[in-house]
Amino acid sequence: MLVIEGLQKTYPNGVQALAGVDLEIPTGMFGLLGPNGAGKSSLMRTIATLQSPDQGTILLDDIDVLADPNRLRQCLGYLPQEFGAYPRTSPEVMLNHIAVLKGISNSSERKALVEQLLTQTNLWEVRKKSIDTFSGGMKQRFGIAQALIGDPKLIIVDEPTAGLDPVERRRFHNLLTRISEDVVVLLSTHIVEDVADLCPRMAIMGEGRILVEGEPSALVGQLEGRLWHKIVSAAQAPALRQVLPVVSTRLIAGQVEIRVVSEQQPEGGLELVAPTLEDVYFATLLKHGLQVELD
Amino acid sequence: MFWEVFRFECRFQLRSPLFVAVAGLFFLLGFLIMGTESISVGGVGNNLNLNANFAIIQVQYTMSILGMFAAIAFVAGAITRDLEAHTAELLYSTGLRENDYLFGRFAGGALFAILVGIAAMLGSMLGTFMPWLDQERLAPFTLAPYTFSVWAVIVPNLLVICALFYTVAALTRSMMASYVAALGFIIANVVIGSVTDQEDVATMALFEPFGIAAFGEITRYWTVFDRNFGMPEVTDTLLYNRLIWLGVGALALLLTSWRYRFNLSPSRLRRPTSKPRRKEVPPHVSAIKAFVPQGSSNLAMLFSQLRMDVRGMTRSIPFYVLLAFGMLQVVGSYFGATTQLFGTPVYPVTGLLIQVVGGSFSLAVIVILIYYSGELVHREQQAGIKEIIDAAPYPNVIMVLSKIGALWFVLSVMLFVVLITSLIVQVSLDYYNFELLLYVQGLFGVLGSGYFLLCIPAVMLQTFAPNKFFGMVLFLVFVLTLSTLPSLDMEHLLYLYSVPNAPYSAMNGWGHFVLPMVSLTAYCLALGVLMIVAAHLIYQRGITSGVKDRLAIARSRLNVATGTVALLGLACAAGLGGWIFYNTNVLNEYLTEDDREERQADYEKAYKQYEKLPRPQVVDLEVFVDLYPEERRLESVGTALLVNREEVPLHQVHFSVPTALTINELLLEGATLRESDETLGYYQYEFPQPVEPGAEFEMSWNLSWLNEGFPNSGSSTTRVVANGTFVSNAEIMPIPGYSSGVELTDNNVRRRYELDPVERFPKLNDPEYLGINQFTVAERTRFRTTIATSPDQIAIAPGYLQREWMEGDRRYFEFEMDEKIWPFVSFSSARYAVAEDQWNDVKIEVYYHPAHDYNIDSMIESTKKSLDYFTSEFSPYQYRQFRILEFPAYQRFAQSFPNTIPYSEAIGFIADLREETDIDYVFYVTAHEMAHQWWAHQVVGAQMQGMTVMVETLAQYSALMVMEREFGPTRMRRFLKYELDNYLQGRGGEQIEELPLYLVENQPYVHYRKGSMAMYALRDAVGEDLVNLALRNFLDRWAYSEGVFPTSVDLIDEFRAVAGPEHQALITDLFERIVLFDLQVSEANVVPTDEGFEVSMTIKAAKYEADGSGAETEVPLSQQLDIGIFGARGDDLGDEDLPEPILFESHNITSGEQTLTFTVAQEPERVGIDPYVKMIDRNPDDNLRSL
Repeated sequence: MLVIEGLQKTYPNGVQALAGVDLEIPTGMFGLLGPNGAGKSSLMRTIATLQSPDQGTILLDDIDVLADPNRLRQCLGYLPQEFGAYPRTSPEVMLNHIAVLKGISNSSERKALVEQLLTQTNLWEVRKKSIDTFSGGMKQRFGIAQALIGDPKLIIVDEPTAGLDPVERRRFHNLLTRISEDVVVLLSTHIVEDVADLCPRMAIMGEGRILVEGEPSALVGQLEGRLWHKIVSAAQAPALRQVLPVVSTRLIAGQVEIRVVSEQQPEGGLELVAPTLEDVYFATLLKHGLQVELD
Repeated sequence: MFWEVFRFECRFQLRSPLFVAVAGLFFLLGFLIMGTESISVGGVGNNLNLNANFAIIQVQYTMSILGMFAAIAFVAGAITRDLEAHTAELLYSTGLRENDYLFGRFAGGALFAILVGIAAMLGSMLGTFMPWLDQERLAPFTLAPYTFSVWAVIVPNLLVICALFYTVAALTRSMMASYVAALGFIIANVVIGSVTDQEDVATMALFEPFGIAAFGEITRYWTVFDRNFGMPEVTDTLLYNRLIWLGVGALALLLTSWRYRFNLSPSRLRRPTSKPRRKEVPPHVSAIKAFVPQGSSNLAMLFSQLRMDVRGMTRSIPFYVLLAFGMLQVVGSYFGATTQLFGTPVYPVTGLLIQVVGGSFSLAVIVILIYYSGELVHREQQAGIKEIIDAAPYPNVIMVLSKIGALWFVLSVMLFVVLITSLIVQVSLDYYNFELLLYVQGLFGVLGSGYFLLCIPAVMLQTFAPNKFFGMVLFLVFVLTLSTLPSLDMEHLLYLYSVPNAPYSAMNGWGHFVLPMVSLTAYCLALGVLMIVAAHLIYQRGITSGVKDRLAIARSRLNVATGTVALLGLACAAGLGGWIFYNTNVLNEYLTEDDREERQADYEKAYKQYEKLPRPQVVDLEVFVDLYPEERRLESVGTALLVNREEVPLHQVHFSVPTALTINELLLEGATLRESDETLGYYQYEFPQPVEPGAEFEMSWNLSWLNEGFPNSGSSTTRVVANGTFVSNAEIMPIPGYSSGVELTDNNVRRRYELDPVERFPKLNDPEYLGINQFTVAERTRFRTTIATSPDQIAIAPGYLQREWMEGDRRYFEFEMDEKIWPFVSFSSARYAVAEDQWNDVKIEVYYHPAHDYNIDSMIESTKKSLDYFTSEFSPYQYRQFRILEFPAYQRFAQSFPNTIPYSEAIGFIADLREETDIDYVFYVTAHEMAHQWWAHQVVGAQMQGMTVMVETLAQYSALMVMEREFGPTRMRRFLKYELDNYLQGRGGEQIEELPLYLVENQPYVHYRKGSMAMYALRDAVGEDLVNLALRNFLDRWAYSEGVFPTSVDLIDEFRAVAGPEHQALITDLFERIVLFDLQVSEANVVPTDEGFEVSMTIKAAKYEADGSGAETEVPLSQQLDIGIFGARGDDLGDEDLPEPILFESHNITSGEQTLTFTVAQEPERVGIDPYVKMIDRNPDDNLRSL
């Protein structure tokens, strides 16, 4: 169980990246959604011991992460949003090196481990080619391979499927699901479907705070019966937006679909519609005053 | 479009901190160089103005080379910026034309590079106005050197550099490639420069890219006057050089324009994999096993990281480029340093090679350290892997150690390459005594230790710095600070973080220099430990925001482990530091250079008043020397019998004693010590009963020369060593009177201590000095000595060996002279091998280091030939023995004591004379030293102007005659050309005033070099027989005189007496004036006729007389000069030698132009005016012309 309490961080230029974050994350996949600038990456990095907060605590079971970062690092897997590799270096060599740095000093054990990881992530055939030559998907696979070294108890994955084709993305999901049985996997992403598909628990973050937290199905359920929609012409849309609490708009074949959250049926001929997690996301942002113009 | 791109580039550069910082830095640099006196530019010299034109221009040249790297940053950055900032895609897809883009960027970058150069120049200009400069050394401001610099130096150099490296950057799309190319360019320059002999200077001047060689060639013979006020003309070499290189630059740009394309395919060409790919079967994974890391595997982490870092370096092309250039540099510096005297090489002995490569190496090492420390420390950041790595549980210090280790690896590889290259050089020169252990000691130990140590602060500073450029600047500042501290009078080893150099001598090995080296290395390593701890604490892990953050984190990282290591390091540093301090400040005295100068000034201020105090003469000298070579201890005990030869009674006698000696006892019979100054070594005795004229009294002394531990700098003695001790009597006994040799000679330094300009030599014919000779005595002395040394060493002093015996574990030698000699004796001791030979009744012995047996035969041969000539032409040799003794390479000279010649290991003993056409300078030096047995020990001049002519010039002449007999006149031409070149260059280094030969004041370039030329010309005009007759007469009259000594005028009178009236003017020119010629064959034609060949030649001739500072006035020329016509040269002659002439006549040549016509039977190839360069000609190369 990963317990985060009262995490705060303000950068020297005045930006408050974390404004008091509290979370309890059990084993299994946990999805973290939020707009750009919400503080997701800051949170990820802070948990991954790469950044120190101004205030707060982070505990993984009995490890006090802030006081004893090396102890966490011994059982941590981290896949950053952007990463590279030493030039002209193969995944085999790189994984071997990271394994040593993670404390696996027995060379035969290490060799077996590296073999296993390369196979798991389907990189065996290219194990001796330079990572510089990899496509985006292959690089991500390498990234997850190194994150799995050392049988981590906490895996932090930051925007992992951006830029992956559907096949890669599916493969990635399968891999993550398989390993998340007794590991805390913290997945930060923009892609709402990923959270919907994969994560038994999730949170939405905005402006350095956790806005809402819970099971996706439960959160969607909360919108059940409160979400209304109507398809109008592009000319009519602005007027409606003035009078109704519009959560999102979408252009479909030249016309505009507006969605509205309301306890009762609002004026203007809207009908009930089944909510999705995306609607939860937009609604949450609107509720906390973070809504942005969509057109 | 071009203007748009250009304007954009300019705006960008103007706003960029890089430009502001670099321009500021160079402005400051220029300011510091010209505005501080401690950095001397343009050649050492009192007379050289601080703002001499020469100095100003030279500074601009130097800075344009330094500015090269900044220039590359601007232009290479201009073209690679779009790729790195990923704006390339945007730009390329607009309608922008490639040429507009290319030239617009180039123009902008180059303009700003030039602006930096101008900033440097403005800084230096401002520096010359600073009020704290010595105003006497500043001439009125002129704009000329600055405008010259702009148009001949700054603009062309920077344009060319920008063009060349812009091309590299544009075509390789890599900034790195530009820098490597630049480094290679510089190193290639250095290598070519050092391989070039004196003879190819003109060609090199044409092709050297920075124009420095061209400038050097124009100003090669400039005197101080020229350097202050002269302006180089932009003609010929300089002009062509600039045009050639501007052309090269233009070509480079054209090449760029032709090859450059807007496209983004990766620059690395990848060969497509043509092999069919088999489907690989991955290993069977039964179940996903869990691998749990074990705890402490720090060592494995360190090794893995080290492996990765080293891999990173060895897989980069710049690494191999640097290695290759390192090799070239070794080769180049070897050739530069070992074509020793007169173009003759020495054996490439290991001891020499390891000392030679050192100097040329340091620049490359500093560059490597600066560059690679940045690359290594920020490597993870640059590769984008830092976040992943930092999430792994490695201790910070692992990274720090690994980066240091990788740098050590690079250094080791470079040193290894130097070793291999040196071996190759040795083999290629047919020398096989490799001495591998010595290589390792010298390269990795002595040379490398300082560099290995520097890696630690380099990494530490990079760890502090947020990015690699900042770190590079920090390290550069660190290095610069350390190297300028000494000039601020801060010289103590304890804070310089450096290891003192250990000179090597084959005779004495590393000697006692090992102890300070090892001590300082250990001390600096202890400091290094502290630096590593600091780096560990401040190491940036993940992302930090600002200094406060990092400091807080550093504080939190302090724990028992780091604290313990830090304390251990501190303890070691303190302990070692204390030990070093004990050696430098307790066992020895810590003196900075300024301190030493101050003492010299104090000595003069306090005691010069006693200079003219009447001195007693030494008539009997008995010295007991107890030498303990391993302890480097020398005990000197002795008595001297002194006599008052003055006409008045003697009330006081003063003594100077070298301050290195401890006085156990110093007694003067009948006198009491009135005042003693231990710091300056001056002791004043007075006689209650004055000593009557003619009365004798005894002086006895007991002195110890203790060399314990090691001093802070330099003055660790090299005279008393474990093997190869060589001291003169002045160093180990009290010398009566004030010692003027102690005085400061540099007038600028003197002014700082409020001393008047240095006193000139006593004027010629000053009656007060006619009775005192060059040795500062008036009378000869009896001499006897006993030297005790180690049982395995042989001790030698002037005198005939009376007895040799063992007593306990000491070996004794007793020497005695059976006739009186000047009180000028040497004491030597070493483990010698001895070669013996005989010439009539003279026993010839060479005492040498057993491994240096290469040229003993040449020495003995030269001795015999010299004895042949000198005894038949001058007078009998006054001794029955002649000994040559080798001494260590710490000094490079030979010196002539009575029948004893100490001779440095570094000259002659290792000369490589296997090539027959080379000048055998062993023969020459031996003959020269032999000649001093006549010219110094038989006859010597009075102590006044012109005194050294009778000693050095005549020794040169004597040696020349013996050489000519042995090697023939053709080789003499080559020798004389070197003499002429050295004389002309020497004039530029004159500190006070050049003087004609008869007034010479111990100026080597005059009494040796000009002396050779003058005597040779005299002999040529008057004839050898008459010259030698004059010398015989001179000897008859003055040899063995005491109490009154000859002057240069006496010698010249002898010449005048034997020469006819037709030669009197020549004698005046040669000895009494400073005369230079400008002789040139401006045109020559040959026309075949029936009788043979008709040769016509047009000669331009001029004659100048110069004053002391080099200003010349033309004087009318009307003189008999040689004309020579030569045919084809045979293969047995060197390039510079001339065959037997077809025609050789003497003609009267007058000022201006004249045409002469001759008819010869053989086909002529070259014609010449004064072809054998007997006249001092400013440009001897144009004396000859090919037809």
